[in-house]
Amino acid sequence: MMTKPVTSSLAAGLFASLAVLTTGAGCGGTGLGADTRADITARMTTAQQPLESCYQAALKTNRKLQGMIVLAFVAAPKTGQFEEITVTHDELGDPGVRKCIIDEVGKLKLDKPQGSRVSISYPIHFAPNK
Amino acid sequence: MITVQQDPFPPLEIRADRPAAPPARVVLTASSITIGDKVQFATGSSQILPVSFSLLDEVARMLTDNPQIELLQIEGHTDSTGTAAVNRKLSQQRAESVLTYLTSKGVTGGRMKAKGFGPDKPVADNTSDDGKEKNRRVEFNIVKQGPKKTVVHDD
Repeated sequence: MMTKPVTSSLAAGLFASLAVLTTGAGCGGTGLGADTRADITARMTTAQQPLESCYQAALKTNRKLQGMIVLAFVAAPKTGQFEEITVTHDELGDPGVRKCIIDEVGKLKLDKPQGSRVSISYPIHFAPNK
Repeated sequence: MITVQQDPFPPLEIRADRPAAPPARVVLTASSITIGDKVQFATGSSQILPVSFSLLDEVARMLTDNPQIELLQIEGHTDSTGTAAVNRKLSQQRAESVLTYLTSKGVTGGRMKAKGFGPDKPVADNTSDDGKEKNRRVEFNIVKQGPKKTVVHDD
């Protein structure tokens, strides 16, 4: 699979940490399959509402809070459960938001679990409505 | 095990409404700086309670941002409980305490003077608790000001 250039200026500085997939035998060299990628994106999208709640709550105490958070986590083999979630980049710097996000993403799991661990780096951008 | 670099995921966009801005606690009028909260002191003392520091910090900022205010009178007022002489002394000490605090926050001392009026200028009825509470207050009245100047902050 080719690595596409990152065009978003906002994201440009953040993707030094590219999503990385470690595969077991049998899937070597194929990277994240399109289906798995779509599955991950779809699962993350389902967390949109809860993540908005995390952000909304934090805005009450800090109206200026905004920026990018990048999570690194794995989808466990067989179950697809998102776990081992860590924050690798945090422009918000709000411990409450960080914990809330980790809790919410930790509730997710892939619809179609893989046979091996899938390591994922996923950016989330928080911004207030205009 | 083989490690393969992947395309980055596009960021998940999270939006939320900013809560309404709280009303300003410190407002500049033509003749005064009004405060939407009370300056609180230890009972019977001129010691400012820490809970009021942020309020006075905003007053200091207002003065720094408005150099056209050349002279501000910090006025201490009390209710009518106790003797007038004691109240005048206490209100004077409290006004001076506020002046000292504002000076510590970078406001030039020469731009301010402190005056304690004790119970002499009530704004409410001293026969009710509510009225007494209103009368116990600190006011910031502008005595002298020049033309409006613009302040540019480095931050």
